Amino acid sequence: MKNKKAGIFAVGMVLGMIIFIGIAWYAFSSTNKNINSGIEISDATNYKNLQNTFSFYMNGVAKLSSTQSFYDIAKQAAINKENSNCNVYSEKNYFMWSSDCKPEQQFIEDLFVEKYNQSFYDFLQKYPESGFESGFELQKIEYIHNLEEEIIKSTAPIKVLKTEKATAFATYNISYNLNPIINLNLSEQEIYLDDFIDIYHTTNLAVQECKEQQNPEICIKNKLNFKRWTTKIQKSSSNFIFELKTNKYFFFKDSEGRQDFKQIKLNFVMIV
Amino acid sequence: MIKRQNKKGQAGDIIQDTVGLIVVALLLIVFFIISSAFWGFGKKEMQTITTENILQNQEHLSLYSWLQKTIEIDINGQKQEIMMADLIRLSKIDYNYKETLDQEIKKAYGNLYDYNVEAKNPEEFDILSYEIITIGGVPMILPAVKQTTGSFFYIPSNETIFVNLEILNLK
Repeated sequence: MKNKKAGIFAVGMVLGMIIFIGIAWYAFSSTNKNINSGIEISDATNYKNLQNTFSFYMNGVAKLSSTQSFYDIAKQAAINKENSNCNVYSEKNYFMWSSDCKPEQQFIEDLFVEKYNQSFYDFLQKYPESGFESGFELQKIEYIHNLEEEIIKSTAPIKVLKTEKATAFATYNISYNLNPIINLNLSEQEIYLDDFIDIYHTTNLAVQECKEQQNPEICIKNKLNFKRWTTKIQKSSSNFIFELKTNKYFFFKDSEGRQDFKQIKLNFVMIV
Repeated sequence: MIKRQNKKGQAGDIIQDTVGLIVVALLLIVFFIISSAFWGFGKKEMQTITTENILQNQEHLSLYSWLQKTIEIDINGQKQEIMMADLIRLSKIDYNYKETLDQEIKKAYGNLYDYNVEAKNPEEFDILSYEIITIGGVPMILPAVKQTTGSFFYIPSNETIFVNLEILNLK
């Protein structure tokens, strides 16, 4: 009789333990899944936000580098300073344009990419790494820049970002492919590299047509109508001094390295 | 046939079995409660993470979109359209634009958010601070990198500009 009771009791205990282990196992696996999926959502959002933050910064860098490059080209009157035929007009310290020293399409485009690359690299080095971004070394991404018509394309290999997470239940790795490519349309920034060549041809033609006139400055001015530039003309001995500035204001670092927001100037002397 | 029964002994057995069964039942209830609590906390934790994520994501996208919004400003009597991020950069160059910027921030975020716009050098972003961490029940003061909360973006300039937006009721 007593043995029978003990048997029932033992069966009860075993059943109880089976139920308990079952519930505990179910609770454990569900909690693990829930917490893991929660962490995965959180990480996916962090990575997506990091991509936005980085892309936003780099788009700003692309815009600033393009205006900086445009300023640098205008500062040297869009000519090759190394060309022995290019001289400086000592009275104003302006470069002199002539048929042997004038803006050339290929040179301007190459110079634009060179200056763009310098500025782009400087700003990329300043990208801060803090908090979640620490250790990803986004500043070390190696970009290659290509100017195709009006678009400057900055390409780089996809950067794989990896983190290892440890929870109370598991340790797992997360990876995210960050696409660093940036395309900037220069015309949207009101940067037209062709302007330098157009300005040369138009001013040269106007000077040739007006140089014999009684008031050549007025004659030249009437012949010039640049959409994006305002023009000032002065006669100095037999030459003409041109001082142009953009209608639009741009961000750039001036010769002293200060960030400024001003109109970009293009000064040159046209040799008659 | 005469059966000899020890009634006192039988009563003792019944009491002993009943107490045993009650203990087993109680143990099962306790285990069940612990398991449910364990399971339930997991749910709660996930819900908290998800809610914070949604809010953080909304804030982030809101700031992202606001920084790209264009605004017309007056520069030496000339109207020019610039992006909000450019206005922030401009306000660091020319203090006269700070008022316009403050008005725009208030218009967009009112009193719901705490915002912070400051220029920093890259090495200034990680602030080393100290935190009290309990290890094995013993509180210890350890160095830790203070992480930025809320949504933030960086604007390139001479000194990188840090724009941080944090919803006030989450603080």
